[in-house]
Amino acid sequence: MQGKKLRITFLFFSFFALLFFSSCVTNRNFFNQVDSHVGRGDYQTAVSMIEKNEDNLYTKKDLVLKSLDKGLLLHYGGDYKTSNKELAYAEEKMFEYFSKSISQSVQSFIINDAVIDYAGDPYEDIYSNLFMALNYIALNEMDKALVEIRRFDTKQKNLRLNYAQAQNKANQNSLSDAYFGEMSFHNSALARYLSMLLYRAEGNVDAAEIDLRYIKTAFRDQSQLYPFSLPSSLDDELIKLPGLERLNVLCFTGLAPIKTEEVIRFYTSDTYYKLALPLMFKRPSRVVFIGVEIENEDTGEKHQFRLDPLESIDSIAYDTFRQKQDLLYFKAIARSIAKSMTTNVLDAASRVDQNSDASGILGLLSIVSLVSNELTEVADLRTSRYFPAKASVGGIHLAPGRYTVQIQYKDAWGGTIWLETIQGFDLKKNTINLVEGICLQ
Amino acid sequence: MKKTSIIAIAMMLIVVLSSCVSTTGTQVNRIDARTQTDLSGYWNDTDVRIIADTLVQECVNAPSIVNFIRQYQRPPVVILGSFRNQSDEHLDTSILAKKFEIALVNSGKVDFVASSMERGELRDERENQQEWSSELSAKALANEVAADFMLIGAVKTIVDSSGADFTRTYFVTAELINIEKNTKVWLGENSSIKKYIRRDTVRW
Repeated sequence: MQGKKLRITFLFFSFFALLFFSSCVTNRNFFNQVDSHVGRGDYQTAVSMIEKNEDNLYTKKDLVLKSLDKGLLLHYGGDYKTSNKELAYAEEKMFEYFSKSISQSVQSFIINDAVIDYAGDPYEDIYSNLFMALNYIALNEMDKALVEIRRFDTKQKNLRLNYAQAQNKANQNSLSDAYFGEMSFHNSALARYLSMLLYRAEGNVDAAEIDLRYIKTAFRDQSQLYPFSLPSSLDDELIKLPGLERLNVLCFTGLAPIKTEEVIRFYTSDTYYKLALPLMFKRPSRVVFIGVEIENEDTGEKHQFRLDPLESIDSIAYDTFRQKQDLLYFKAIARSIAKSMTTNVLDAASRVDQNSDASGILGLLSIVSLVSNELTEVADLRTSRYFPAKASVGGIHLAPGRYTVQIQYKDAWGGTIWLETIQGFDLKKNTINLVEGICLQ
Repeated sequence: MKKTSIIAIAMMLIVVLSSCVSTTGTQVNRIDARTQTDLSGYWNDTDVRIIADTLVQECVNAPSIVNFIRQYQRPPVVILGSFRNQSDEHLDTSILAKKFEIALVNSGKVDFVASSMERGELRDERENQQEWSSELSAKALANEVAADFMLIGAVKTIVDSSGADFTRTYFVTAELINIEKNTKVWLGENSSIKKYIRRDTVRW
């Protein structure tokens, strides 16, 4: 009779546990459908799919992620104003979540890291300003674009400060290779490039030259994140040719990395351990090189050039994740040990006096603890999904006028994967003439 | 056993159901408009008031305006140029620009003409009047008063930060420029607004 009662109570608890924790599981397969629309360049459908299913895709702790994902897709789809609203909200929340919640930290030690408000990685924080700047450029609001550039600059200063402090610490502790190597991303060439274009358009040549120098420094000091040569067009960017204006092309390709889970289960003499560790993997892109063809709509004069890689956003995402990886792993191990020990203690206590009521309850709790360990010990796989993987740039001096710009995204065999044509691009004097291309395949 | 099970189940129910409970509500209290309210550390009404109380008054009492009145026996005509936001936050500089305009006009020492943003609408109206208004009441075309001076300005910020602490210093500049000669007849600067902001590193 007692055994039957125990079984019923166990089933009851298991049902509740399943009900409670199933709400934490994000419908990851659904993202694959969204991704397929993104790959086809159908960003509006991707956004509406997310909006219709956002309660299934994101929890209350994922406000930053939701806004980042939507903000980026809206940018790609050309809805710049709404994109800015989303990205600004994401930035505001990242700022707010700088302060860590004590209650969530305790919960994360008991349950898992996904119960903490997602506060974004440094690269997500910085790139949100860059995409907002791109939105303002598209909306022809240059002062506001420059505000975003200044905001990014402040954040980069902080990163550099952290970098310098880590460097000092490493030097003091003779850890230069091991410790210092973990703090590689501290200067974004893409951000500096945009800043340079904006200051150049404003006529602030000194600030533009400083940015140009920073681009070169980013390549030199972070060679593992910039394993390619400086863009060939870079040195011509600040040259003023009489009667000609500069046209710049900035293309984003591929998708930034996402995370997957590696589960390790093992038994010692009488203890079961489960470790769920997040791993980051890069999503391969078919795009190997990008060609640009520009035709003057009045004269028919054509120009062709290739774009050069400027930033490997996926490498930067991977790098910032690597900085936190050891801490995440240490926390997962500590949590797993604590959970397993709790199960063991309850189990051992239930065996002390097997005939008492307390023994039954303790035995039951030990089973619940084991089940909840299995159910709750999952890796925190949250990361924004729609940042691009690579940014490539190029530029050319042309006479002011109307142009058709064709961007060809090619694979390793020279086959065209994606073709973008921008007709009637008005190349104007004394402003930023930037063509943005996107192929997230 | 029975009693303990009921307590355990009740506790579980409380944990599960408490996650569904949310509290909403808005409380509004009217406060004096001059009350200093620093919530985020960003540019706010108090900052606008500080600038308006000092810089605008300096501008109104600028010796160049007094000299102009003495020389030409009329108040100078001023046009509002751009008040640029060169800070690192999205702030509305038009409020500050309007404060300048209001103070200068109300001082009686200068006349203001419509800015480049405003005059397009006025010109459209005048053109419409030529077609639709009576000849007597229609206002003449090409009879605008040209400005003598242009008022321009900018708001800049310097941010210094380390971890959870940062300071924000605002540099507000305003300039009155002689349109014909490009000479700057008055320059004003206020850099008295400096905020030390400390972010909480923990919360509940």
